[in-house]
Amino acid sequence: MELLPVGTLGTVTAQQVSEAIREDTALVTIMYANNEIGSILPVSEIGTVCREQGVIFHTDAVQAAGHLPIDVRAQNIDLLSLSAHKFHGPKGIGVLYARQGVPLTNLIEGGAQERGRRAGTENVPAIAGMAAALEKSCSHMVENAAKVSALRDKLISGLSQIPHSALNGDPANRLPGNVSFCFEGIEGESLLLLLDDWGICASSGSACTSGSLDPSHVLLSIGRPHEVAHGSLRLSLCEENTEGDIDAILKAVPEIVGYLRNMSPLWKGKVSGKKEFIL
Amino acid sequence: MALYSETVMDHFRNPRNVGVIKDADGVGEVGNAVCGDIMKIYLKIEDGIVSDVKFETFGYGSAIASSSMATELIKGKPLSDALKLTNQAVTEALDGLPAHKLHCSVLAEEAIQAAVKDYYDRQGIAYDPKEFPDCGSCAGCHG
Repeated sequence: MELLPVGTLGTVTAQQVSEAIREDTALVTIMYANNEIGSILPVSEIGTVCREQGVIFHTDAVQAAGHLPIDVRAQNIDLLSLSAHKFHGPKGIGVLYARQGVPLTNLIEGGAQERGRRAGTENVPAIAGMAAALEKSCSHMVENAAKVSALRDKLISGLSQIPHSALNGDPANRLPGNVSFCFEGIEGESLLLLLDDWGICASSGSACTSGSLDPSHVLLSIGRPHEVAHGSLRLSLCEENTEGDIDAILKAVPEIVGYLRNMSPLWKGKVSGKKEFIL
Repeated sequence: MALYSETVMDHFRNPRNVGVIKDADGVGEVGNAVCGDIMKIYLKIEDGIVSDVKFETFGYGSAIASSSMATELIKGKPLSDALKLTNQAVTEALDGLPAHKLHCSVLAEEAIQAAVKDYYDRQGIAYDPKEFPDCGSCAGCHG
């Protein structure tokens, strides 16, 4: 298995994929959009490259489905994963779309359900809930994306006023609901716990790694040094958020960052000139 | 999500003894930014007693709470007691820490030891260097 390096925006190019494909390449898999930093990847271009070279193309579209337009035929996507809870559907249900003719091994043997691929009685309520949620998201996609992107940009512009902070990910080609920042001189978990006291639910890295002490591998791979990656904040917005929510976040975050910096020997060292600022 | 005990959250939300002692008699700093935890302890010593103690911490909620609790446990105590403060004592006083955050209490113990060592150095008081392990024993960073 070959992992492609990402650039500072956390994306790979179709050319990188094209150059990495070998005669024995069985599958290319690329996230449609990154869960932590929101960057949208050039899925259409990569789909074209894979189709031209005859390699099966899978995309993890968990962050994108219901939020960004996806056309599996036009984008030459052979396999696509999505998860219902990312568009207000039930938790614990998702889809693996497979283009007809893509060979798949069976996941669970022992029954004829899902054409023998995954034995066991289907979770019909969750399936129906997911379908209803996806239908609703897709039918309001354009107006939701416009509304949420405007909230996102207001939040990004407000948080950018905090000195020695930086937006993570692509500022333009970005998931409508993703805001990811690093604040120098503080540690992200402390920020999250205090935001929680303000009634603001946020995350630091991804939920998958909250049991780990290492900073996010995504932030490290886009070139954030360890100490900066430790001070990360991810805020996920949706169409149910309001301008008032953004105002509340923009009141809370600068205050908490200032409070934590005021007790941080790392920050004090930078302010006094003993250590250098990175951001 | 009850990651932390109520005592940890209390000391995190309302940390005791945050700040700087400008004319401190001993200062100790341990941890590093790469690991995500730095603790700095300031001691004021009068007649062999820890008359005042302050801390500054960069790190997890558990690191801030450990610093706060550790300073409370040594304030007003003889220096010899401060030196004997263990990470287990800090953890117990906090009603426990999650396993992967235990290193925060180790940092608190080491920061106090580093501050006492600095005090001994400044005063020219002889001590056994073996009593003061370098920060490096902490598995959280170096395991």
